[in-house]
Amino acid sequence: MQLTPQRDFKVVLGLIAVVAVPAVVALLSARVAQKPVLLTPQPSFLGYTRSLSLFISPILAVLVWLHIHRDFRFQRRAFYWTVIPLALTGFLLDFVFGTLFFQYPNREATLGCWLPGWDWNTLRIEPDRLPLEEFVFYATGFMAVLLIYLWCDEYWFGAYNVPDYRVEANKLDRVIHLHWPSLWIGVALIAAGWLYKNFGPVSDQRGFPGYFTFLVVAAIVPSILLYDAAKRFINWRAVSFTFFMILLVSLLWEATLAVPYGWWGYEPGPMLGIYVYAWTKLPLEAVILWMAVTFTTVIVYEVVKILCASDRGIRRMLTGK
Amino acid sequence: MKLTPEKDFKVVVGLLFIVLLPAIFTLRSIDVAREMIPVEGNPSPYGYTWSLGLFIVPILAVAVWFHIKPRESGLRKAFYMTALGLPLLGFLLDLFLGTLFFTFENQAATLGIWVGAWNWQEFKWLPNQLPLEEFVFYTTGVAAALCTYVWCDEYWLKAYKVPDEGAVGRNLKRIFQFHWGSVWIGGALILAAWLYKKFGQHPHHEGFPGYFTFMVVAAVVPSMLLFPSVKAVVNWRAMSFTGFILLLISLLWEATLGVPYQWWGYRYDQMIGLTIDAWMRLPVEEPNLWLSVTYVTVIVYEAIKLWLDSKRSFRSAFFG
Repeated sequence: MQLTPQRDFKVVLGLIAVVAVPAVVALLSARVAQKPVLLTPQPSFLGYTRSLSLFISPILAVLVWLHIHRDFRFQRRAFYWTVIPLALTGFLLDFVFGTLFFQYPNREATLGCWLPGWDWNTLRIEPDRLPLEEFVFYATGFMAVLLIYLWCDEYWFGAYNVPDYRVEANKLDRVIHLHWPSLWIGVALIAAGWLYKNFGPVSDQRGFPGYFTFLVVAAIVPSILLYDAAKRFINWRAVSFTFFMILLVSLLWEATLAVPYGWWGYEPGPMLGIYVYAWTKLPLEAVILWMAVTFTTVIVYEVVKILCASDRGIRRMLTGK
Repeated sequence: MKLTPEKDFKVVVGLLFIVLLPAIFTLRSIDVAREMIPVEGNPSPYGYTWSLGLFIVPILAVAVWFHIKPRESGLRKAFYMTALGLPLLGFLLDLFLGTLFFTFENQAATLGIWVGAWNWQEFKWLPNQLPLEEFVFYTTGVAAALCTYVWCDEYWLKAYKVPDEGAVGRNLKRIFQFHWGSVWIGGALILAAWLYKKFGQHPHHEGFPGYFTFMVVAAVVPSMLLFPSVKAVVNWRAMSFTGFILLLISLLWEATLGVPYQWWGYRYDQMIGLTIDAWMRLPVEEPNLWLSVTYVTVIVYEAIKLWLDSKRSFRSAFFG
């Protein structure tokens, strides 16, 4: 069977559009925002903590499967080499930007273990700023996305997997290629975000859409550097399935539970100012996050897999020299 | 590539459990139900009407593809027979049981075209009982599930399509084969629902779980008669893909829009009494509906395709 990665990528974009466009139209019909639930009496004791099972459950199932099969040695290695740096990056970013972008009004929805974070008002590290659950989420969120993709790629949609990874990987001269369209799309998105924030009909204060910019950069940088090498190795069927499954979990998790029950919220200042009223004024950025996470995780994983499969050294594969 | 339908069916069930179990565990952490948006002030003008785009747009996209690709008469015939036949079940439900199960408080969310229906309180046919959108939904909901599945089966996940369904159909003694597993599961579900309705911890002990019973019967009867024959020809990857997309659309549509904005609501005397507080006390029947629509649609479609591909008469193919 001949694989058609260029066409498949467009099909995935089409699939997303077919769901997203009517969803936007339907959501725009809601003119009155749903109200958050009052926090007294406590409406969801340990809700945030328990909700992490939404990610832990698929992780456990796929991890067991991954470690039972002996054939997946280099996939296992690639999985750990992808997920550990991505989770650590998530930790670091939450530590640095967490207090700038997010708020946690419902403290009893968590275990009550609070970790320090960088405070941009006092410009120093302050204690008890971020709930432990945030860090568990950054670890398990990436893991869940990657493991679902990995399982789909190797098993559920394995017919669309690149059959001989080692041979194909050795055909590449290097993995880092500048992908200009990603760069232009990223710059255009950030510019459009800034223009909307400052000149659009937004009710919040003008300023810089920090969270949106952060998400675009997080998705675009791996894409700029790695997309060209990774695109022919990506199993786009697996991407589409992972994306819709993660979107389902996140819609249930964030739009119908977390935001209405105050497990976390968004500081309006660094947001674009585009809100989904039917989802208790959830910022648009929260929806984009899941797209960015899936895309970035898959690209990074495929490149790590290329590096693990290649007979040449990592340095030579990265730079071509 | 060797297809493994028995194993694949179990994988689909496993996939569902992996999502459903933690979802139930999480939703159970909610102690205070969310409140609906008051309909005064028209919070979502034509919302119900516009929201039908969630089903219409995928149908249009697949319809274009469906008519561009080379004509396969059996496939198209099976598609239209399923897409036209199954909504009739929905129409019947709505016309005869709609006023018993549902409420439509937010009239401004619809076009305002109302259709007559049977009223069980007055025991006669009354005009202006159900919004037109209900019937559009029953038609497009089934068609969207079917379109997504057909597109996956014929294109996106074609590697897992059974190569010669005609041969399978011809070799089958008959398509109708009794599947006792479905009967026991259906019976157990209805009994459990009735017990919960009567003795569970909720304020709605009066009445009968009619809506749930209707749904179980609507899902179990096709499954009971067709599952043993069609399980070998169902593309389970395509079904899982369709199921998750439909779940996503339904969650967005019903839990975050339809029920909160009161485009429609439920009469709790006809519900089991088990509700999801985080979704404005949505009866548990609804997520059940979201799951069973895909299952029933796929099973019926594959059974019709088996029949048409076998080139046998209806009686010979289905009854042997």
